[in-house]
Amino acid sequence: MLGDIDTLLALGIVTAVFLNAFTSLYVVRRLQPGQSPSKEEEETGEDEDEDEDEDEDEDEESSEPGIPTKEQVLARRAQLIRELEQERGSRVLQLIHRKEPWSASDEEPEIVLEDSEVILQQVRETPRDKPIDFIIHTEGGLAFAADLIAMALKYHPAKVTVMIPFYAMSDGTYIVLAADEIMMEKCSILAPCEPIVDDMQANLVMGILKRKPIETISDGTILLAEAARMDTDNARQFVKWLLADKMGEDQSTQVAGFLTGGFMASSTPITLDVVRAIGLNVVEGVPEKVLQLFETIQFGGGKVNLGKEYR
Amino acid sequence: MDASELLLGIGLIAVSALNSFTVIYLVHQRKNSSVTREHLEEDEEGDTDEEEGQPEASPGTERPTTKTGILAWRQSIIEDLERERGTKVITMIHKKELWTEPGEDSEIGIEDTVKVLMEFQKTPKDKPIDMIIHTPGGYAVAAQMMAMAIKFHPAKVTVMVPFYAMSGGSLMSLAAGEIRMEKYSVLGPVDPQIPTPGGGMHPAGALATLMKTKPIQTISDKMVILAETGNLEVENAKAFVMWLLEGKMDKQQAESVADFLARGYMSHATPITLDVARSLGLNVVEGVPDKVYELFKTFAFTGQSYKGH
Repeated sequence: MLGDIDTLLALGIVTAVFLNAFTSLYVVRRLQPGQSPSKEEEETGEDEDEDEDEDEDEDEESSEPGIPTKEQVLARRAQLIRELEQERGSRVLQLIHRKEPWSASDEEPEIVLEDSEVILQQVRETPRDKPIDFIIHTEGGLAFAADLIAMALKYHPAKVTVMIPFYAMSDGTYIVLAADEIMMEKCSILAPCEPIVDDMQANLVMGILKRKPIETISDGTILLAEAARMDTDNARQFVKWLLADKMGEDQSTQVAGFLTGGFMASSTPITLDVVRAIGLNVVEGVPEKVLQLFETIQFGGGKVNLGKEYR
Repeated sequence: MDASELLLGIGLIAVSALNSFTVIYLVHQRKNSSVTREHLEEDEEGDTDEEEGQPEASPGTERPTTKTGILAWRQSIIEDLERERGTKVITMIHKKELWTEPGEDSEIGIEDTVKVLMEFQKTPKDKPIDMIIHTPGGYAVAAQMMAMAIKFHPAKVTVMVPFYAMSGGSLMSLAAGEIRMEKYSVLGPVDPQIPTPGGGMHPAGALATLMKTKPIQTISDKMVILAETGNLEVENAKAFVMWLLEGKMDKQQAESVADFLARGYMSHATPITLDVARSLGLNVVEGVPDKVYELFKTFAFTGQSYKGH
């Protein structure tokens, strides 16, 4: 009896020792260089933690360290979009303007007619009863192109949600106004959608006709003021139409006037609170997946130099 | 019988413990030996907290000459600072880098904004943030968005200005719960600068003076329109500064501070020193942690890139 217990205990010790040895060997193997074990913070000696961290790492980046290739980035984005579509049961479209590391041209991307062609086609291919989530990140561009996208979204029968993780300025604002629901962060901004003629706010160009005796104004400025008047009328009517099904006529007239009337500098941020105050359907916060999508974009490289500056 | 069983039991536990400690030791050994390499592989974005990772390239010995090396060095200093202060450290530092293209000025751009905003979003709501700002200014909307992020963060945000944070950088400083600066470091006015169609800038205040001093018939059309733009921009900047100062001082004081900083009474390069900032009613603390200066050693201080190395 006594001997039996002893043997058992001895066996137990031996097993424990081996188990521990194997664990340490295993841990050491897992911590081989090249797998970047300290990517995540680890609590010392917690084997299980390390396993999890390893898995995450492998998910996020490929086995080779350093900068992921274009193909890897695009694949990751496509995967995130797919996941977001599954999560929300919607079709996810995007209008994200920024310079990619691999883009050859030096120019800052903006809304162009190619964008609207692509997006119009995508909206057309979306089943009529399928909601659309539209991720937008742009500083604006060609008003005409933005108008087309806004119209396509407004005419889509199912619900259209526009998500603004950071900003949608100037003509991008038209697209936002077309949505049934707006999702934005507390720090995300829209901007007034007053037309810009020759780099100047349309209403200010018109204003000169009242301020300066007409014989002292140059012909060029008078022509510009006329163009500005027409552009502003156009923009106001368009905004009013976009808002027609969301609020009463009085209110939509007011909001259209507010956004296109030149009452504020074109750089004035239109924040979440303002968007809510003018009677639009806003939800605070964009889905986590959208922010993850933006993590695949390397920011902080280029600089954008449009609009008003402090310096 | 009991005694021997007990002994064996104790032995068992002891052996297990010994083994566990060996494992822990081995793990540590591994981590420490590979930590330098890890540092070199880390990129700037990697907001990881590494344990006792002292890279071999510390100041005084030899400075790293590769981008990855410099970024790793910088990252380790930032992590030290985070540990020291128990905060999340976010930086917006506009200085020439080894890899900067010649002729490329760095200033606040919208890309900075997105980067900083993402860092804010990733920071837990109750974690204090230290924001190190070093910038000549730049794109106004970009600075405004970052200022909003600073203002909206529920925990305390401390802005550190080791040297200067002009213009847009000052705007961001106004949003902070606390500004830490030195006697010699400066903020600047936030009066809008209006770009002219032909390139170049006019201070909004100067345009307003032009309108007041010359008969309007004799002022060029462009200038009349620019002056109007300037008025709107000043209003925007003033309202924004007042909003930033909300809760930090009473409304009347906020309004006069906003007017003082945004109306364009002084040159855009006027230094707003610690004393001035304090007398405006801002919460200014003298002294920037040493680690911040250590961080600045990772930048090229010569004003020219040292690409030749």
